[in-house]
Amino acid sequence: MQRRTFDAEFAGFVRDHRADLVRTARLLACGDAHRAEDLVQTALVRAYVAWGRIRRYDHPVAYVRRSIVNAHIDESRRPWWRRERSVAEPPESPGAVPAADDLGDAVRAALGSLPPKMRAVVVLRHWLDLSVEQTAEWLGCTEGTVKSQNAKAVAKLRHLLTPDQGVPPPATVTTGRRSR
Amino acid sequence: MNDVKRLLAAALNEESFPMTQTVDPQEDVARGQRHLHRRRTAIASGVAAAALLVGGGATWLANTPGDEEGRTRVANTVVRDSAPAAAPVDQKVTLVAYTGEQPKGYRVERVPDGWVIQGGSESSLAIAPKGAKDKDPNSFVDKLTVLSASSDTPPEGLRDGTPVPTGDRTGYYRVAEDGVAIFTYQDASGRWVQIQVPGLLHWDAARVAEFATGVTVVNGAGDSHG
Repeated sequence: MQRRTFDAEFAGFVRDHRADLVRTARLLACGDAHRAEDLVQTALVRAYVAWGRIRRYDHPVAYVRRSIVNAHIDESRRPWWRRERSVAEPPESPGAVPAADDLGDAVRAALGSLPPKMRAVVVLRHWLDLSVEQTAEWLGCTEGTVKSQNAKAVAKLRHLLTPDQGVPPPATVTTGRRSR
Repeated sequence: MNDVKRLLAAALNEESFPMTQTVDPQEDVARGQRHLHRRRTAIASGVAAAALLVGGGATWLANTPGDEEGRTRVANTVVRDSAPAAAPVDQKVTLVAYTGEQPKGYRVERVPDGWVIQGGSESSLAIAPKGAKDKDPNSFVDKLTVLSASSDTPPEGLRDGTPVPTGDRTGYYRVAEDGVAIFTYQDASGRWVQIQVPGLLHWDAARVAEFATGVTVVNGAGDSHG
């Protein structure tokens, strides 16, 4: 394949999928736009290097998503990240269900309270709609681990965001948009 | 909690941080190009330094009787693993004897069927499909590449991967993140060599080892044509 064609094809892929990849990265990064951008750039550089191979895949975007998740997990293992990470500690017993304007902040803070791998489980299972089996494969763990991590994560999110059981978050939350 | 997805959507808060603007992919393409360029430069620099350091020894090796015998064997090597003409596209590319002019700095006994040696230097040897658009021997994308390992490469790095019998020695096989297989081994002269195998060859470790046994670095100084 000629370099020009190679680049044009890759550019088309980026044009079609970048916004979606950034969304996934921002969830993994608890809303940190700069860190999300770093994750996406890292994954896209890897994708460019491997483009000759992955362009033949049925879903090349899955490769890049997985690369983002790997970069997220790898980065979270580095000591500097643990030192510099902004820990938005959510209140253990929030006084009230957050207002619609605050819900995004509350959810990002709640996600930030989860360990990186547990957060990845939530994003893969609930945002990307991966199966337990696929999630386990992506994260290199057992299906049982995925199930238990997901259950713990959802319970913690429930505890942090809906202290009054039975009172769901405001129904006005419709700002998110998901495209895969 | 069946509304986790709705909560995650709220976390994105796209009203404040819209992500639907037009994406300009050129910066991502440029970053990819720069990364590839840096990687190639680093590889070339490392092996060139190694070649300069070991050049004297290699010159001696190139002039030993054993080397001459080795050259003779090249001419007598028979075709291996001949595949049916109608082999499926995804079948492993087989090895055939190389009978052409030996490249600078290397002695090659076998090449992938339908592939040609684009060129060799003090630092690298590039083999590509016949008719490949990219004829630059210093460009390694989608090519079978042989590199002399840098002398300062940590020993543990040279033995990174799955051990694979390679002649009377042991090679080490692993697949990098970009799908390129990396195979390190010591050639007949005892020098560490790294082979990069593109995914399009569909080679397993045994096939790479077979190719490796037919490759020897004969002159790190680059003044010999084997």
